[in-house]
Parts: sequence; structure tokens; C-alpha cells
Amino acid sequence: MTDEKIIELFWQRSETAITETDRVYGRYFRSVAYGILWNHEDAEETVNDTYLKAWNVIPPERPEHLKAFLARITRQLSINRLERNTAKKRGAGQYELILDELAECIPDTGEDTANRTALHDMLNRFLRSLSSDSRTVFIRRYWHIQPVAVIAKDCGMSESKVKSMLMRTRNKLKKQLKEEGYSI
Amino acid sequence: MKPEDLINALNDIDYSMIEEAEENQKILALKLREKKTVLLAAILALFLCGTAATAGLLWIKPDVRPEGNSLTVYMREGYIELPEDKIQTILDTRIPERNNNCILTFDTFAEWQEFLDIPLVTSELLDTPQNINTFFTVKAAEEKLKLMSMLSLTTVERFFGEECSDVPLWSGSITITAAVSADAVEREDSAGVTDGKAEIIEEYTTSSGIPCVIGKIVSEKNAQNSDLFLYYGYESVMYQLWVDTYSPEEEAMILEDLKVIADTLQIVYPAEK
Repeated sequence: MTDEKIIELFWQRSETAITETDRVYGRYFRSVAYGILWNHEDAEETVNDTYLKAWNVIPPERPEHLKAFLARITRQLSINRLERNTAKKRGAGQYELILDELAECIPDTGEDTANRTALHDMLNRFLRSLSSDSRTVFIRRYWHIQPVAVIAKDCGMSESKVKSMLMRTRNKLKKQLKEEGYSI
Repeated sequence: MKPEDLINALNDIDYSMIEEAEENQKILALKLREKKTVLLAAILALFLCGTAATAGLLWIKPDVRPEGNSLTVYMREGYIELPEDKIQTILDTRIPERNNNCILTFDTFAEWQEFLDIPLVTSELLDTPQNINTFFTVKAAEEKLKLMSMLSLTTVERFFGEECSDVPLWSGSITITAAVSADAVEREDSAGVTDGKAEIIEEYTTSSGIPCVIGKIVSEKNAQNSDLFLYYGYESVMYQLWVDTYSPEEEAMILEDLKVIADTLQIVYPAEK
């Protein structure tokens, strides 16, 4: 079933919309959620929460790219859940590690939250400037929140190579953030 | 700025870069596996549909048709009527603090099968209870509180053979559409919608007498790449296995591997067959 048909089902308030979404994209959303949460129950619930959120926002939303729209929701809900799990001292701890890594180049200055739109424009430009492999590793680490060991295994690299690539990319990011006037 | 701001801002980046990264990771992974002469990563999605009581439906081979750039499986009676007592069990198990989700955990497929009272596809390769950790969630429709729109089984990963011990045999999910609509008597499921043309390349019966249909979609952008699809079982109890291939040699190898896999799979039949 096409995205357009699925979205139309959402607009018709047909519960088949959820079933069809899961049939077409469920496997992908589960992999996104599980990659972040490393817990099947949490991942499954997060995917279900994604569908619930989709149900609540479509309509009025009519996303052009359903997979991207829902994948972003899945990722954000997974991160929210990971933050809650971390607060409860459970979970894989990857999120804390990642925040520590990013804090090396973006220390928490306590200033106001950055302008999100401007920041994501900058990130788009920055990521496009990277080599394909560096971008892949960066996205897997900081978008999918995946452990270095998993990235290394999946990409056929050593862990030290992945760490080295990430370090270089973070340094480039730090430089670009500084050049564009972000407080670091 | 906080690191969390960056993590959050990444959520809004151009999604094409996420997809490109996923594609590139596949290419990197392929390079890693080039020296191996075993099956590449496969994703196995398992679809259950129909009911045990629907005599005559269970034994029809998969109705798979190439349609343009996709393979479509036509299935009749694609809905399961869950027994009333099980429905009550599920409703009683809902957790209000968790959006009324009901989480049921089963240690074995047999327990799962017994609970649902439906025929279940299983595999010899999966028949290792101590390693099986399956569960599914049930989402109750919040507004009407009528029973559920979805059951789903989480990823099950299995490994086979020492040479590819790092390759999951399957990483899939079962989706069962439960009875919320009595008039839904026919459905179709399209797979592998890509840029190429779909075709059926083989239909045969395994040594254990199970019908098999193998389809293929070759990428128009790169003729070296293709997706192979194995449909195994009957239209109401069916495995669907999808594998990416990146060269004709690899495609030939995987085609043979698919047949080996089909021969190792079992279907647990309902007693009244």
C-alpha cells in the first residue's frame, strides 16, 4: 500500500491505517527503536506509541514522506524513553556516553536552548560536507544512538577506526559551530 | 547550547541522509562479507492469517503476482478471530499507566500458539525454547475500547553455521490483524516496491511437500542488484523471506540458499488437517 493510501486511511480515521503502517514500515521502526533502547519490550511499546502519536496528529498533518515522518517520531520517543530509563538507572547507558562525547565539543554553557531550525540547517550542511563513510558512522552513532562496537561490526571496521572517525568528525563539527557563532 | 540540543536537532536533518547512511552501511557490510560463501543477511517476515477453523483455505499455495515493480500476495480471510476468553485475558492485563498496552510474555512458541488457539508457523531452527524470548503487545483501541487492532511479535534472531555466526537468519516480525472488522475478507500485501520490474522466477514444492514461490525484482538503477523473495507455506500460514543481492553470482548463491532454508523450515499444522 502506498503512503498516500495509508495517510488517507488516517484521515478517514480507519484503524486499518495503523495495521498497514505497521505492515509496511513496522520492521524498520522496530529496528530504529531497538537500536536506541536495546530492549525489546521498550522498543515495541515505543513503536506502538509512535502509531498512537501518528493517529493523533494525522489529521491535521499530511506528511509528504510517511516513513521519515514516523521514523523521526520513533527516534524522539525512543530517546525520551531512554532518558527516563537512564534516570531510573537502567538501560544500556549509550545515551549518557553520547552526551559526554558531544559535550567535549559542545559543553553545556547553561545558555538558552539553541535555535533548533538554524541548528538543523547547519547540521544538514555539515553532514553533506562529510565523506559518505564518515557521515554513515556519525549518523549511526548520533541519530541511531548505536554503540561503537555495533557500528564497527556492521560496517566492517575496527572499533578504534570508528572512534577515530567520530573524533575527527566531532572536531570538524566543533570548528563549524564556532565559525557559525554558536557558543562553545 | 547543550548536547541534548544537538541530539534533538539531528532529528530534523534531511531524511535522505539517513536513508543514504543505511544504504552505505549495507555496502560496507557487503564488503565485509565478500569473502564468505554463505547466505547474506536476510530478513524474514512471517505473516499469519486465516483461522484454523477455516477449512479449505489453509492449503492453497501463496497467490503471488508480479505487478509492475512489486510482488503482491493475495490472501483471503486475512483476519483472525481471537477467542473470547483470550480477549478478556488481554483486556484484564492492560496497564493504564502504559497507554493501556497489554504485554504478554511467552517462553515458547507452543505457549504462544496455545494462547492464540491458531496454527503457528515455526522452524526447526527456532525450536530452542531456552533461547526464544518472544512476546507481543496488544494495543487496545482507546476511544472505543473494543479489542485490538494489532498484535506484533518482536524480533527473533537466530544464527546458523559457524561461518556466518554473525549473520541473523531472520530479523522479522509477525503482524496479525485481529478481528475488528468482520467484512474484511480479502487483503493484499505488496513487498519489495523498488525501481525495477518484478517477476516470478520459480514455483516448486519442497521435499516436505510445502509449496514455495520465489520472486525477484532487479534494480533498474543497477542491474547487478536485485531483491529475492521467498514465499513459503500456504496463503493462510506463510513465511516471507526477503534478501538483497548485489551481484549475479551472489544472487545465484542466495537462490540456492533460499531453497536450503525452505527445506529446513517446518509448519506446525492444526490437528484437523
